[in-house]
Amino acid sequence: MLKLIKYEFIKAKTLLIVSAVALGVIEVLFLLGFFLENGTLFGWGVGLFFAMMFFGLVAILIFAIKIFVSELKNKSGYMLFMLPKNGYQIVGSKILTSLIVLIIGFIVYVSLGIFNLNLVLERGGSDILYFIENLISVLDWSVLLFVFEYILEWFVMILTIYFAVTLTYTFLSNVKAKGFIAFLVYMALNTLLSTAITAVLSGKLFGMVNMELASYSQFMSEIGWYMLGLGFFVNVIFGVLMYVGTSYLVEKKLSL
Amino acid sequence: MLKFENVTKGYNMKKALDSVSCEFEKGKVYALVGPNGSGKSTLMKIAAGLVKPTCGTVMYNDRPIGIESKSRIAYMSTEPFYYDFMKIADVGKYYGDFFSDFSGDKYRELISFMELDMSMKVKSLSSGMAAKLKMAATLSRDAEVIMLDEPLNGIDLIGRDQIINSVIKSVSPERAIIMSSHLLDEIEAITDTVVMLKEGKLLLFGDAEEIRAKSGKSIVELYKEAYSLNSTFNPADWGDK
Repeated sequence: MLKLIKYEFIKAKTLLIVSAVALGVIEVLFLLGFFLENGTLFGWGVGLFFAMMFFGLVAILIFAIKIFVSELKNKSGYMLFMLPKNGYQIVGSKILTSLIVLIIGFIVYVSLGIFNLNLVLERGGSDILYFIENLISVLDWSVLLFVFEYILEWFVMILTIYFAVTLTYTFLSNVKAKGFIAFLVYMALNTLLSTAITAVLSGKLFGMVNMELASYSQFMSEIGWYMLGLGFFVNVIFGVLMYVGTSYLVEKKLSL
Repeated sequence: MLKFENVTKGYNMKKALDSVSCEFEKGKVYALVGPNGSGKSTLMKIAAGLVKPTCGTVMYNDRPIGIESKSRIAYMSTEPFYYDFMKIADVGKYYGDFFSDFSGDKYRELISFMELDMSMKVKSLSSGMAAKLKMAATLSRDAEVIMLDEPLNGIDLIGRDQIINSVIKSVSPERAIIMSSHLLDEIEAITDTVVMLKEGKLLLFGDAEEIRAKSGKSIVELYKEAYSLNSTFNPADWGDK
């Protein structure tokens, strides 16, 4: 599987290079703005730095799907599917590659963020810094679990899209408007997932209508842990189902 | 060795293969012939695990097509299929990374024999060069079954000799070679067994020498007879089928 991952990285080379260059340019803007005390450049640097987190996630998502679709659709797919590897290894390698890219991106991004924050802190406080400091003092490490869960949801989204796309090239391959049907399947699966979570959560939330939450820690003790645990559980189950479903279709039903 | 039993593959309402049953044995060179759309490529892709049959079974050494068969069967598609980002050297590395029967030395030798250069980008190759590259990569595997789909497509006369010679070098008592081609006259001389397909059905499967002896005709002549309009060709007269 490591060799599969190696080639997935080579396929994603363009994304990695473009992302690194974009992040580099943004950091240069920020540093120029900071050292030259140019408010416009500094503002652009900070704004684009935060935007980069969102666009980075979207770029990884789009690339992961684009590469997968291209291999189902084009003859280059022979290179992958003629290998002595099963569908579980092939789909798994793609998901793991996205995960590794995300982790590396996250580490680079957070490191740069800490470095930038330190620079600003050393120079002295501002309203924004006051806000950030207060935010950090209120939150605790459980915030990391919410970030983790967000990433998990993001992976489940990739897997759900993989599943819907694979359906179009297997069971729906002879059907007209298969792309549209796959989109409907994706929407239905997503609705199913959010409905499952909401249904379980609704009783708990209903009981909290009149409750005043004075602090983040009270929120966590009243419902936060419950939400985290439930979200984690449902997403893991759903993600495993999507992974097994996609891999099964690739292994047993896919005709290129 | 490689056995098809009542294999059917349907696309929409059309059957690319229709209840095909046959068995390929090691030590033989098979010519898989038939006009466009007769099911040659589909049959090969099913054996390569790239296409799944609608019904019927395909077994390789008594086991279904899967990881094991893919590691022992080398398939060369008629279309170019290498990743655009690759150079010729990268194709060799890729095969070497995934196929334990791949020989880097043989690959280098074949690339040189085909007058290609390791530093050439796959994307920039002419169709003839791309076909030679596919041949070199496929024949560098010490596979038990080698399937070549239209290996002579888009190749000039000199190139055809290179390809036929490299196929001859790959013949072994431990290996089956299956070649599809429209250019039957080019491959007849090296063919042991003829497999004719027509509209997805197996028309003829038999020993080339016996067929020639029984019919008193060359395989090329029989081919023209079998696929001509108003054909009265009766395969039972000449082959196993």
